[in-house]
Amino acid sequence: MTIREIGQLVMVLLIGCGDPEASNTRQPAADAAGLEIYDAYAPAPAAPDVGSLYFTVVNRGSTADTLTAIETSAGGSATLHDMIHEGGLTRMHPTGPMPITPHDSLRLAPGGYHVMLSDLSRQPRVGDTITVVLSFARAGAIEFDAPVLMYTDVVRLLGDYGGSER
Amino acid sequence: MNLTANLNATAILAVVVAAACVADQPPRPEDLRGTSYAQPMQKPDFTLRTTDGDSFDFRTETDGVVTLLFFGYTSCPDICPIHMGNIAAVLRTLPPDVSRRVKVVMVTTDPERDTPERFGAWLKNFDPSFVGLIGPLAEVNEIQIQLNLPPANRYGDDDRSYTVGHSARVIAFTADNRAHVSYPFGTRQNDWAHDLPLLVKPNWEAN
Repeated sequence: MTIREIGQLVMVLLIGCGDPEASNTRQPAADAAGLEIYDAYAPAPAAPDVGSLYFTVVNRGSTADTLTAIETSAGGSATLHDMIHEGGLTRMHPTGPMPITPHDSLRLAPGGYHVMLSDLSRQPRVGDTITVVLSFARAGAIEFDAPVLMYTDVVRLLGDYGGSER
Repeated sequence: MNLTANLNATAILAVVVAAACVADQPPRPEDLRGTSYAQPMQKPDFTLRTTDGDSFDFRTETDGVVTLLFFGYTSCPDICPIHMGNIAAVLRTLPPDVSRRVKVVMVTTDPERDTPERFGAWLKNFDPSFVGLIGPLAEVNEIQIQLNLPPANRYGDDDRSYTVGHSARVIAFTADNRAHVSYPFGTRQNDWAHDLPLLVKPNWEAN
């Protein structure tokens, strides 16, 4: 086994540890009607009016649910975005309502799904907390807090990237 | 000197010589974690304005200096700040004789919204030494085409909330004024920490 292979194995194990599906010992940031919220972080925006937000929704129930709207205490709008990679270009794209099937999860992480925060009323700083309300078609509203951290700390905590150009 | 001592001395000498050879060998693109170019990329010839309003001739200002070149924009909340944040964080941990020899240049792909003030303040969140360049998008896209990158493209009709598709790659020029590797989004801090000390090695021109 080469060093690189060992590295890859360690990475796989670390990613495994970070997967809320694989860990039943972690406390969710919030839960309702079979939906659990984990890994909620907001990097301190570098721009005064534009930021992002990450979290993971795990559906432990037996019915599908759909994330229909996002509101935050940061003001402005919050939109779930996917990242599209085509022809060497990377761009964000609003997903619209996002279904989460039973025993599946929606994971937001750098380079993949993320919430884009626009028209922020105030630039959040490291140490602040953003209150997030997710609206689901079945479960209704789920509220939780996302600490505001440095971008590099968010990357470290989420352990891997949600996607990357190949 | 007995035979054992002689052998020991020879062995030590061999190790020293081998170490010297390794140190003198030019780094090879395959030793790096970045993506190698089949043919090294020539430095593009362009002049744009910095966020301070100064004229910046890319070839002159970065001549012989390891330069990380990235095209992005400040209303990008995910890819761009993460690339810049990772590079800045790693530069802070590297010895000054490495970090001093690395220049980071970001060209905005959104000159309509990225005013010098906005772009300058955005970059200062990461590292005050990072250079931000602004010019007409058509000119910026010409530079990207020279670098085999796709031109940046606006998506969305609303003049305030449109997004910009752009390459997520950071191109690394070495002291020979050529790029042997580029770095995709997803490059980790430990990849930069591994590669930057190799990129600043002076003997890339030997390749």
